[in-house]
Amino acid sequence: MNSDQQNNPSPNSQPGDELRQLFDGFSPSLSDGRQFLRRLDRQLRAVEEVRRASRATLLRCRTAVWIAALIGVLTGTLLGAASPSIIKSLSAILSTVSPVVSEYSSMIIYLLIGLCSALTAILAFDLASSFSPSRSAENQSEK
Amino acid sequence: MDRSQFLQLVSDNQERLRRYLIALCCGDSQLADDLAQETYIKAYLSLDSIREVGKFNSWILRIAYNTFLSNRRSYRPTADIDSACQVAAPAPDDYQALYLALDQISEKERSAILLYYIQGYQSKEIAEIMQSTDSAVKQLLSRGRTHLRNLLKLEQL
Repeated sequence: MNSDQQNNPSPNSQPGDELRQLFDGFSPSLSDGRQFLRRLDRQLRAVEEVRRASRATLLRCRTAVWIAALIGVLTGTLLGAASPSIIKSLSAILSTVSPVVSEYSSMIIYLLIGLCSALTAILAFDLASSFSPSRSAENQSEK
Repeated sequence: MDRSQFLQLVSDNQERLRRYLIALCCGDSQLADDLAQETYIKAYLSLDSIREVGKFNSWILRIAYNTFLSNRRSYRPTADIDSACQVAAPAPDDYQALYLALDQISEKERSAILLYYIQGYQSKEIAEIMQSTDSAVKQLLSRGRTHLRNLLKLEQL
């Protein structure tokens, strides 16, 4: 038997304990219990709805992050693999414009590759988060 | 535990909790009902943390007590004194004197007294609910009793 069940309404009654007598008959009028439960049910449904939505958002974000990271790395790898030929053609172009700038052509290319990968990853994140199945299901339910 | 199972537990327990909260709120049944709703929502959100379903009642009372305390801490009177004067006083009932007396003792003493006399818990269990020690609860009970006795005598005069 647990401690909740063991509790009785008047433990340790002491003779002459006027407070005990006062509280023994304490039964204030309560509002309708069924109405209270209906209100609670409505609030719990709303809580569950919010919980479901936040779980779906979290899942969508996680998936989008994975897709974005994958696409970003893939773009970086592909551009990195192609960088020697890009550097060669860029330095050829830059040497005709400014020989000083052409010395930095490889640095410029690596910066551009990094920027390009980051932009692609961001774009992929936006696309993945707007096209994920949970979002389309949510949109359908809203309609 | 799903929503319907939780509601079943609540329907068995809600009267006890609301009675405790009404006394804790010194007769403000509207506030007591709001706090009871908040308590059950908090409990529903942290159902995973309950270790023994058998101790549901004391677990709920602990949440209710903490909810009451945080409500008191965040309470700021917003109405100006003129509009407050126009608000109708609650209809006096049999417990008006008791509520007035309870309102004048500290929240800790009030809670300890109510858990002991209304809910029927022993000092050890009250200490668990109020996250305090057994001796501190015994002291609260003793002081609370003295204060209440004096106040109720004053009320009767």
